[in-house]
Amino acid sequence: MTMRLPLRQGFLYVALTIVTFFLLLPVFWMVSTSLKTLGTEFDLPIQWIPSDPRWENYAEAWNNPLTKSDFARYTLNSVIVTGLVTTINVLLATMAGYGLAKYRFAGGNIVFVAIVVTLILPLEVIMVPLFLTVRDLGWLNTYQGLIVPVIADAFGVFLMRQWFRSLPTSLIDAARIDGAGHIRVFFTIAIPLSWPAILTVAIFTFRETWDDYIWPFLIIQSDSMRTIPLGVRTFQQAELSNFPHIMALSTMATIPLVILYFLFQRYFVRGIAGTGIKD
Amino acid sequence: MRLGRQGMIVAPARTRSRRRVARLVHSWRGPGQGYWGFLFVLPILILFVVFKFQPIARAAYLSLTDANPFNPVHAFVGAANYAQLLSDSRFINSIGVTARYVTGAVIPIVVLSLALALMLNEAIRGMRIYRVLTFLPSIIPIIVVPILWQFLYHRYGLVNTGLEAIGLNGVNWLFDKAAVIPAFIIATDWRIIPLFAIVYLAGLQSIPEDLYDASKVDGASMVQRFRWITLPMLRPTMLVVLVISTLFCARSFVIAFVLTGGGPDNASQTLSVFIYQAGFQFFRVGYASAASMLLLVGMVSVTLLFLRIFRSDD
Repeated sequence: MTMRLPLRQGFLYVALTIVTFFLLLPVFWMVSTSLKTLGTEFDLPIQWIPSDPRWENYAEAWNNPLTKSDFARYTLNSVIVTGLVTTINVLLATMAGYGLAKYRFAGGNIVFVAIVVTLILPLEVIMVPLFLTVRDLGWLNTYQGLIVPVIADAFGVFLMRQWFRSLPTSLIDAARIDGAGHIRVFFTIAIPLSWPAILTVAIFTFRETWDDYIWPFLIIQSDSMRTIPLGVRTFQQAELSNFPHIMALSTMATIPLVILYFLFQRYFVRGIAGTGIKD
Repeated sequence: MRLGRQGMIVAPARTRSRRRVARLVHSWRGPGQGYWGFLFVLPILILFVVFKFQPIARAAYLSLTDANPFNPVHAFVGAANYAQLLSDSRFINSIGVTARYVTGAVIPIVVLSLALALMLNEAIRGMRIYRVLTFLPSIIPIIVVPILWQFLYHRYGLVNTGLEAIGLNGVNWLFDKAAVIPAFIIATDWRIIPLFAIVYLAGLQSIPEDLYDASKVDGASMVQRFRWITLPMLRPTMLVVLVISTLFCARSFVIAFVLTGGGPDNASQTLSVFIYQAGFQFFRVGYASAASMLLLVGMVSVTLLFLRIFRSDD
């Protein structure tokens, strides 16, 4: 028979607290180490809250004469790339999802299947030919190179098609009958009805792009084109043994994503539950 | 004649005959107007052709040549790259590494994500906080994950400190051939179990509540309810978790590449690291492409196999 309620709840709280503790331990360690003085990071017993927190680590990591890294520039690059990829991907994916769900045309299903199949096609499989393609276009070390190939992502198309399939057609029909053109119906009827799905795709694409390491790593050589993940990695390679600096930088790189998560938690979760798991 | 999904069309204020409405509806989604659908798809389709389909075709083609980035003229070498791969001990080794890594990572993901989701699905006070906090490992930027774990796996790092505190010996995680794959697995699972718990949670919440209510009336125990309601109803979700986590781990690059770069002595050289090194460090584009094609074939086969198994024992 079922356990008595208070006992069961107590058990649940204990179990959850232990699980949460272990999941968060590495994060505590990261933040705690970011405030330690160089050379004390492995002192035992572990000082989880450093008695003398060294906040300068953050300023020194952000603006480090040794590594000459320019995080203001990397942040700008990340903002430009992520902003454009997200905007364009969301627009094109919404259009495609709408076209596939609300119209019937020859080859429509084939197009949909072909696009969705690429969800299981990892960058790792095509990294060599994709690199060569971008090189042939003369896009190595450019914003175009960072942006355009990444826009072709199937998750948004898939999610928007699902959304529009379950969206009643009557409103769209009514607008058409009143004489509105195809494009006007899309922008004035379909889009305003679809913000929850659009936001889900946007948050998802934003996070994927902001977080991406492999693609920028493959095509970016010059320091001025680096995005934040590349900057973090380069910094780590240059500062191998300065754990507090590297952890301060890692913490700073984590903060924007945490803020995004807290602001848009619901859409975050929806994107994952729709299983756009990638990174 | 096609009508709207609703069956009935709400006529606009100016009343028209139903027949005329139906004809108009037909004409906007019917044969004459269908090309508009294609026009809506076209922009992203062009990007897919250039940056997804074309590279796959190119990989397939290059895998049959001796291409390198400096020489635009390739010689066609037939299946030579594939033959060489199959006798390349580094490649065979990387298949084994990937297989051990994927198996070791996926089984805990399928089981522990479900366990976490079951806990997070309970209606108790403060559950929102637990849901938010347990998700944090999945928010950390992917590049920070291996950098952070490199420190945790340090000889005097947190993991060994913990082991020694409970009386065990510390392990040289990233430099010991036997320990490096488990080290990858722990770091990977730490990061993605919370993600898959969310997928399970969505699955759990889609199970109709009245199934549980009915079984309680019948006197079913908690274990019985889990065995006979939750598990069967979660079957599709479990398949999704299994397939996606397998594909995810099979191609995982950043963790392996940054944590060890394939070392010690290739003991952690996964297939994606092998492909990267062949293509971008040894500049053997044809060879790397052949390895990519084999990875793709492997991933597709495993996916089909899972789909088959899950379907056949229904």
